[in-house]
Amino acid sequence: MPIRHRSVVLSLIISLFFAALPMRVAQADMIDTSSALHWRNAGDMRAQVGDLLARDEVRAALQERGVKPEAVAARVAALSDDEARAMARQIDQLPAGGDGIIGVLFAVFIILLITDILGLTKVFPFTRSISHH
Amino acid sequence: MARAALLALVLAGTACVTVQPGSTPGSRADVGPVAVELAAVPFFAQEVHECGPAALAEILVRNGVDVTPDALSDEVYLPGRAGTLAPELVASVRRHGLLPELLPARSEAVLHAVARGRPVLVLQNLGLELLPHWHYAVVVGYDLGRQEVLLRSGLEPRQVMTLFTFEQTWLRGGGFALTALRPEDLPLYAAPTAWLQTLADAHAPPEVWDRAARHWPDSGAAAFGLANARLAQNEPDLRGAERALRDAVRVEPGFLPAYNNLALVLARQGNWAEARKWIDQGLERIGSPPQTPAGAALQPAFEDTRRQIQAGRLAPAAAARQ
Repeated sequence: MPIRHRSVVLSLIISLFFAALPMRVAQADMIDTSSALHWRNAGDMRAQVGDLLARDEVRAALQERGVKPEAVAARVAALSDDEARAMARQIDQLPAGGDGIIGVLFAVFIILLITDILGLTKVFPFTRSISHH
Repeated sequence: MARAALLALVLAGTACVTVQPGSTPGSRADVGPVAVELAAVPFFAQEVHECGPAALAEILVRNGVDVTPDALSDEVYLPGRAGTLAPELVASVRRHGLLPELLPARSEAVLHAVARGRPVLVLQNLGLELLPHWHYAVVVGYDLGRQEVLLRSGLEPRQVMTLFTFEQTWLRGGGFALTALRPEDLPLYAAPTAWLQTLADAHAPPEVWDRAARHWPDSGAAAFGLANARLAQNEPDLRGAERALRDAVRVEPGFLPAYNNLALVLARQGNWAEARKWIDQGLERIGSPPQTPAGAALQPAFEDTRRQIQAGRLAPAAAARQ
């Protein structure tokens, strides 16, 4: 919740600040490659303002989710603009590879056992699916 | 349906079509040899919940990066989610000097990459949609005759899985498939714009951009990126950047950003007359009023460039960023 709230305030400040900026082109500057790759998409301006917010949100979110403080900055810096936006939007929705099934009920165990045997799933190391020759 | 596809695969497999370098297969007939195993891909047994760092280490070490799952844990593992998120895996590939290519969600793309010597990091949902069990593994081989794929997975250095189960679990997981390329390699599937974005995100050096520009000789964007990479060096290569930008406007005259940068690169070399010519051409193509929203977005920057050229004096920090 606090992230959401802060992002609204931040987005107001930053969008006011950047309202006059047409592209990510500093005065008298060369156009950078990322901007050039998207130049045909005129909606990019909003996306780029969003980038700054996204990185701030990801920084806070990583820290809240237990990443060591000294590792956070490098992780945020390593993200591309698209990745930063995806992380900011969906950090709790993206599948986290590594999850286990904790406290599986017996019925569920049976279901997964059967689906494992049918070859639809592969939860248990001891199953051998019938789609195997 | 799936059975028919499998049958087709068996038949295709026996035909054993060899894939030419640079080709992208449209069907399973073009995957590659019938059976492939990349035995040289290392195996790291995963710690609890840390299949992400283990799988990542396998594809990085395979490409000559000296790293352990333990070290990668600080880069990609998210304790609060007891797992690893895909965008951070992609970012970590770049952190280690390699280029990430995401493959399309078709199993023949995965097998083709393996046939080309590229192990594929995949996200599987080993459970059910309602009861997901997310897991990262690395595809290191396949056997079309036996309808199997080989994986480095969890605690199993050589997991044999039927192609059917692999497709079920992988596509249920959204079909995420990541390969790590050395800078000298070209992508198998990525469209030019996507790959050029990858190079920009990786701050690739001029040699890598040069290869991309030669691979896509009709792309103004590739030549444009090459120019910026030449300028981003410690000693900016103005002449080289100029050459690349002249290529950009020649091969793709509608790629407007190149006019602005070409004008600035010429001005930085003191060639004010020609700089003026190119910025005027760019503004003419944008139109007055601008013909398109994209042109309208560029116009202020172009006009600013023109003012400076007209004044015969550039603002100090006219350096390129990638």
